[in-house]
Amino acid sequence: MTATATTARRVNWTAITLTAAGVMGAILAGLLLAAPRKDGAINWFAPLIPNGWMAWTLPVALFFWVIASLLVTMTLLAIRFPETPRVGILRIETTRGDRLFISLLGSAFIHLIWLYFAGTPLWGATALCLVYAAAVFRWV
Amino acid sequence: MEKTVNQKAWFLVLPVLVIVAFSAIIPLMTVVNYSVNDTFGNNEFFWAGLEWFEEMVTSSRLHDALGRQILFSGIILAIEVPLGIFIALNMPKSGFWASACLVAMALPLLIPFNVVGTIWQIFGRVDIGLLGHALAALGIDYNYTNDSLDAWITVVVMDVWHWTSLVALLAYAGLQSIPQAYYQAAKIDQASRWAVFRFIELPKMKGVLLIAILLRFMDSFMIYTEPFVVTGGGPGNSTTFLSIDLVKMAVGQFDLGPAAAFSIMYFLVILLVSWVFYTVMTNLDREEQK
Amino acid sequence: MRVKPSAFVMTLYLLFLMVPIYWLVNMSLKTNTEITSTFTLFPRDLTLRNYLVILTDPSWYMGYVNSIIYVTMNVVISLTVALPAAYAFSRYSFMGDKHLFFWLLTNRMAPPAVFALPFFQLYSSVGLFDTHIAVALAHCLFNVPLAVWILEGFMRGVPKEIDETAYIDGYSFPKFFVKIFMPLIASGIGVAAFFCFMFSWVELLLSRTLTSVNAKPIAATMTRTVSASGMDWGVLAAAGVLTIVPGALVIYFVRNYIAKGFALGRV
Repeated sequence: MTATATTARRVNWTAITLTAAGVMGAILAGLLLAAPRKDGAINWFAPLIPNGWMAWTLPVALFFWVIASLLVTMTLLAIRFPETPRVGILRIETTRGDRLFISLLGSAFIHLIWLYFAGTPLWGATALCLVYAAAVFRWV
Repeated sequence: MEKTVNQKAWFLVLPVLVIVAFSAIIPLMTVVNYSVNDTFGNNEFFWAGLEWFEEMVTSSRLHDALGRQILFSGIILAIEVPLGIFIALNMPKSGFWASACLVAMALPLLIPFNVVGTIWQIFGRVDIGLLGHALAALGIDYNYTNDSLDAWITVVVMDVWHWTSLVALLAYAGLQSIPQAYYQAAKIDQASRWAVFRFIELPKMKGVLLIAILLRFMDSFMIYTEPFVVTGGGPGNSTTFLSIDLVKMAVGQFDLGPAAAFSIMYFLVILLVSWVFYTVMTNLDREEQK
Repeated sequence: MRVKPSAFVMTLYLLFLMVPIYWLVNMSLKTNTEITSTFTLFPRDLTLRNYLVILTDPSWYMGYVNSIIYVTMNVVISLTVALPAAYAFSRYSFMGDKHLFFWLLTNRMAPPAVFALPFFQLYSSVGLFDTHIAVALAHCLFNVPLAVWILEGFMRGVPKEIDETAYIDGYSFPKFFVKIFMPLIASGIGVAAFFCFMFSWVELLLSRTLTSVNAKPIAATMTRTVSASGMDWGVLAAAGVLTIVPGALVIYFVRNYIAKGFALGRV
């Protein structure tokens, strides 16, 4: 019932998408502006807030920004194209959100395993994770 | 039950979201931040990158603690689950004795964790404890503060004492839901006791047993207080489980970076197990509805 | 008379459960000289001195007072926020409900050891270190999810027709919830309160990390005595007995719900 009501209300999706993108973009810009600088260039590894007890640094902030953006995107997608669960090769019902979770959790483990066997740098693991995530979204 | 779609339900959930986010997300973000920094106190942090993860993933200290942890969880599951089922099968079905057994069995579950430790400390000591004294009188050399095997046995028996009743109570709840007609049908078929258990009781207990196993696994996987009180992680490091090691590192030595990296890996394992638990449980629920 | 094998098994098991508890009570009624010098199965000169020590020494009894204060705060907070949320989970499906429910579960399962240090930093930075509310809020981490799951389990058993009839009769949501729905799940609320109380009462790690003097719980007081030299075993045992009492008092009333409560309402 609610689904038909929303379509009847004729939601302007372009506006919503643009607003969301605008908000996330503004946060990103704010982060980059607030980042500490050395000789005009961004100093990646200095604390964002000097003497803050949470010890924010730009890379970690960007990491959480990416996760937050993914969540926002998935939420918008879920509203616009309601999720229908399907049964994949794991024989469990998954929705898009579940598959995102499986991909993220799996990626964390892939990075750790890579770190154990090959050590830094982790670019290889990241590449592997993209393949893994694609596989999860396609088949699970 | 068929649920109505209602997005306004979010407002009812909002208070929970706010309070749990405050006590879960902020600390988790802090842990992630600490895991890539080094500090010498005074909130001054220096970028360390993935150094701590590399150190922790290859640290033999962590591997040993993880090995002990898995061994411990394995042993107590192997003892508590069969024993719990066995006890549940032997419990009185109704009447005064059923209530009496329920109350008596629930008692250890409700004792504060550190008091459980204290009870076993007092009970096991050779000089003042009944158990230690009795074993010494039998000529068995038992001293949980010096001998690592004795310490292990004490910690395992303590956990069996503390938590077997949980498995038994859950299994008992599962058994109670079996209609009497099933047993009568089995009697007519002249089914053996084993067949009754295997084909009637076990399938009916499947759901609750799953919950019991996963609760016992999770709670034993993060066990801290009881062994800490009894053995303090010793003798040596022989009963230092993951949580004890983590607290030693974080609060004792204030090694924020390594402790944070350790925490993240620990938490990832918990997430994985919780997810498997939740998925299997919702799938079981759905099968039952069919 | 022939003894039934099941009765024999149960007697043996209950004996195994009761003997260590008996030993604790036994110790709490002995004098220290009797504990250390002779070995007796029951107290020879019965004394209540150990209990007297606890009830007259502020460093002991304040531990109980502190514990009771933060546990009560925690139960009130947990139930207040969990009741509407559990209702939402049991009655409606909304976007992200399953993920949210799962996320709550992960918090119930999260090891307190992971959170001890960040909590310490967080509450120190907002000036709440060593206050009761800090411990109460920290325990919400696992008690709020616990309460939501248990209450949802109980609410599922209430037919939805009751809600619908009440709305048709002109009840507003808050009035329906307080006047009709809450009495219906009164036992569920009681069980949830009991388990929140229990898990907050038994927790040691977080409450010890977040307090030093003013809000120090009884559990921390006890471990400090353990590590001190010159053990006062009798007092320690008496303190242990006193921490078991609140659980033992209400155990009879919740006996049929213990399995359900521990299984997060899923039995």
